[in-house]
Amino acid sequence: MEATTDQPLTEANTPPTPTLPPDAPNDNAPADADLLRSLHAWHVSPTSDTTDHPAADTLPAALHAFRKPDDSDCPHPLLVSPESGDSGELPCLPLADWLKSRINAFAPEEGDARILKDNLVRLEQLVRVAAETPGRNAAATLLAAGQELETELGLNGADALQLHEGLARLQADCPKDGLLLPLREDTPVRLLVLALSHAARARQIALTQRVSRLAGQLRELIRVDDSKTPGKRQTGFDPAGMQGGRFNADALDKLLGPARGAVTMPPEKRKRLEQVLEILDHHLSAAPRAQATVVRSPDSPALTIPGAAEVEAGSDALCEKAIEIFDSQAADHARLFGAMRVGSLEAEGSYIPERHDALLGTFEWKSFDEGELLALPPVVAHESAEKLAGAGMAPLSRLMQSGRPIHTFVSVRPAAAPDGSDSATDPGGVRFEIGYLGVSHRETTVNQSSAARPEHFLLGVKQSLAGGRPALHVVASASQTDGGPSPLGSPVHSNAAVASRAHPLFHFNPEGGATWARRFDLDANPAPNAAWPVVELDCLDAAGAAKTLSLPFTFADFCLLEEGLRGHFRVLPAVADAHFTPLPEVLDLPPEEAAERLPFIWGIASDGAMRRLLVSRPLLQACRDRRNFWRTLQELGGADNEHVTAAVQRERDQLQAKHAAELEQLAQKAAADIEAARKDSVRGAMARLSELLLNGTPETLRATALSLANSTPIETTASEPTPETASEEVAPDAGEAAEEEAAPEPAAAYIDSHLCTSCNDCINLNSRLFVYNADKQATIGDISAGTFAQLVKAAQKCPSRCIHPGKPHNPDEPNLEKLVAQAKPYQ
Amino acid sequence: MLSLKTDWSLDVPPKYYTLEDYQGGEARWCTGCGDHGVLTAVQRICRDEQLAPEKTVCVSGIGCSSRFPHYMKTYGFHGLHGRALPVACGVKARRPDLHVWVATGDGDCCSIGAGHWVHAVRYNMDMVVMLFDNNIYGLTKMQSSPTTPMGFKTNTHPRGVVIPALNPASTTLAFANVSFVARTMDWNPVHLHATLHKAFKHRGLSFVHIMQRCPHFTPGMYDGLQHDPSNLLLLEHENGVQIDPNVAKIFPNRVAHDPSDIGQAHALSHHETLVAIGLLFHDPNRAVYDDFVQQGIGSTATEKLEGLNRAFDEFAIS
Repeated sequence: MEATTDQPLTEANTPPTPTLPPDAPNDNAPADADLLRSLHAWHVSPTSDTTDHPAADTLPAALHAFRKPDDSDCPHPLLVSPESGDSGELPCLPLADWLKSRINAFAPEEGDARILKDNLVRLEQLVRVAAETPGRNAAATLLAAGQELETELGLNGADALQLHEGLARLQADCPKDGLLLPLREDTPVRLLVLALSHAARARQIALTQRVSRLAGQLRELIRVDDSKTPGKRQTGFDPAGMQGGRFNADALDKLLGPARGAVTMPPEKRKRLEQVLEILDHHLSAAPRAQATVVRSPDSPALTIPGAAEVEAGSDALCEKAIEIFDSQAADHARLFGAMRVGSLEAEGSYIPERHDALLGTFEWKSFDEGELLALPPVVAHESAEKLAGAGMAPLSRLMQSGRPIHTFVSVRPAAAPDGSDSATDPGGVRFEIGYLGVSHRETTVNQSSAARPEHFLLGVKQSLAGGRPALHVVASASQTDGGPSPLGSPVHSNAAVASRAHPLFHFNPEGGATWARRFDLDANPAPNAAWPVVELDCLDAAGAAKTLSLPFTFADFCLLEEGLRGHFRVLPAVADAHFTPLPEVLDLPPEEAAERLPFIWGIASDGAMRRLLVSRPLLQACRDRRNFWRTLQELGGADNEHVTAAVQRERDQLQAKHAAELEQLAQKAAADIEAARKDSVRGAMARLSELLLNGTPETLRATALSLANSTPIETTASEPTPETASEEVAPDAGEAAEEEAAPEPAAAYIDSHLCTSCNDCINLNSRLFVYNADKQATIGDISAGTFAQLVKAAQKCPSRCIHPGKPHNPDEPNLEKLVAQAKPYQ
Repeated sequence: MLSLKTDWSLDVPPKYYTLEDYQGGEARWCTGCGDHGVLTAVQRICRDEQLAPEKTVCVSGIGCSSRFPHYMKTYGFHGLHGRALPVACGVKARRPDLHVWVATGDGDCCSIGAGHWVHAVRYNMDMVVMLFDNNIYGLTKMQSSPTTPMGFKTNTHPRGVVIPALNPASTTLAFANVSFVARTMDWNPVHLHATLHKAFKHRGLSFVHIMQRCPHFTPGMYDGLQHDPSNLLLLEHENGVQIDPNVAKIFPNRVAHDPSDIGQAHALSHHETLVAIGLLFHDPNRAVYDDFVQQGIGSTATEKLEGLNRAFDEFAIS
């Protein structure tokens, strides 16, 4: 909608140039007072009869460029390959993108496959028409469309062959399991179920591989145990091995004895392993189950998605039913996952019976890890917002609080208020936001998206697959208006709903990170930093001069597309008055001032004539609600956050104040330094002058006068340390040396433990006198447990020379004099 | 999520390993043997790094020092003479999750195992190789080894060895794909521990030449270095072996050496007058063979067969 954002709407088939009415807004001709009263009365109470409602061909001015629908930029139909790929991410591309990429792959040069490239748009149209039925096989549809194109073109000879070959290449490249999904009411839920089933299938394959590997490991444990068990042992020598038939394995077996020195596993462990193996083998022999289950209300149309079961339940029992199905499937898998845990612990030798036996008995889905949760068959609860908003809310809230990774798909009609009001004619006041409710549950992944934005929707689906947590998908349906097909076509209509803030897009991903900014994403909306997207409209004034109007695209503009809401618009007469105010400006006015204004939006008829359309107060209130909700989302998403703006301003003010204060301090200090230097200089000069005058000779007086004349007034060189300072700095070293010289001999024996090489020499002499510390290095233990002679002998033997005997601790020990002399070199 | 998960309940409680958890049988080396110090240093590193004993393997060949695995309460492989390195490579190739320590002597590695030495260094698989160099065959009672100095009398050279000794560090530096070469000594536990720890932290084959005293057959061989540290040259660098400054003070000769400079490492490894100690060479970016040989680990027999069949199918003639 705006130049600075992506432009989901298509522009083609230039419609008539819009022309402003002769009463341009700058014209100050006042309106008649009675007319104003009448308009105010209608604005406040639009139920009064009037014939001035805009004609059916009047559209919001901002959408004038899209008056003639063109689906060429619409991503639908989508080409999905539910059976392809093993990454867990559903291969899904807009058909047009796929066609272009494939043709460029086999015909990269400009002249290659020229006829096919020239008629690619027509081929797309043919496929698009054929794909209106959802779930059509892509290859078959492409084949039929290609044949139709060949018939239409009626080429002969080399041209026909070239086109046929190109079509055949496309046909060959088309995935055999490819499905085409057009933009329809049920497309998003189909996409969701296909994506979930695809991911679950990939997880099931990985799970089966894990089970197979684990079963192999456990089988090996049992085989090794068998080889230690008399009667079960197999010699296992390969007669075709190194010694061939000449090697008598059985004789060797008898010679060695079947179980000499071998310890077999305890019987209870063996039994546990066999039980686990039985469960794993059962899983391997049974076909993997990853079939999705869709729970929907009986009056919702059946989806009939291949590989997905459908269960019916009332709106108030929908979530309970989904929980029941999930719990049943989880219980089936709990046995397998529990067995895998036991098997893994056994395989790595970490199984502790007294710890794990009891816990595994109560193994349930809450103990599943993320990979296990995602391997469960997906369960989707599908309901419309209108039905869920009533009695279905409490069960939905309970589902989200339960933590079960169940996906709830809620389809929303953007112009309708899901609160039970008459949505066909009532724009609603304060709307009930189911997506916002999901965010308030904090641990639920919320994917508020639109059918017309499959890439955004699938990104949300991908995020919802990451954490093994509940997911809420709130998706604006590819709406048809309440009064029938949208005048602009579904793609434009759906994107207009997003742009008008009727249904903002956002993702809330609790796995996104530690901060809210990482978890909440609003960027996919047009003009995410503005209140409304703005469209620049080129038009002519009444005199025929070109003008450009900046038109915010508001919720009221979107409601003009809804046939049922046209009663909330009235064509203003062709006069200008200060009371006529653009709706976005009225929303920004204080209430008492806004009450005096008549809010309008611009509409354009099919002939290009522009009209100001008065908006009713109920619709104005709905616009205010939409804008306020959008502001809430913006602040949550970090856009234009008032607290942030205020904090930044506060920091900026503080920094500027601090900076100014520092500058002031520096200026004062500089002034003081200059003054002090000046005084020192004068004082020094006076002292030297006095000295010279009193003691100097005429020669020195002359020399001094010359040097003073050449010297700078202030000297700033760093001062050298004075001899006194230098001696002070040296003094500590000298003191240390003196201290070292005077150090007395240690009185007690000690060991430089960090130098000990753990050679056991001292320990072998006396293991109580010498002991090892925590680093297995020797230290003195019980000094009374040994003699001074042992200390001296250990010091002499120690290869690291780290034992210091000290002074004798027992004066009565014999030969002390001799021992002290021997100990001296080791002190 | 939602504080509901009880995965923790199935975790094995973390165990803190003490030095005793790594102490195997009582070491039967001679008293005063330098091997004791190396054993303690390795046990301390295992404890400090909290290596699970069941995830640690000591591999050795034949010789005094090769009794090392018996004294470690971990998995061990007391292999054939000269074959410590190929066994260790085999262990690492199939069990990359294990920490591998190799104990080998100057006879085991530099003589009968020299061929394996060359290629193990070239494979650069992730392990610590400790060369216990006591300059003699001790276990077989004093025969000349490749590192026995010229003139030293042994049972095989009663009038003294007549050819120059091999220098293990400088030799290793010449091997292709060498990534870590250090030299230390058993009598300075601080330097020994720091060097082995640095070696453990290196991903690749860390070759540590340990000058090791043999009090029985080569007593006094290293006295000149042990009692006069001025004969040693301590290598210092921010990327080298870091030791306590108080311990470093005992080495009067020190030189700054960037371990990435292999040219200077060569020169220092056979310094004319001094014996350089510390990290001679380190290049953490050399190719590690582990990355290539571990493909397919964990595959079941069925998967292996399928892979083999797919490979064969590429050569099928239709």
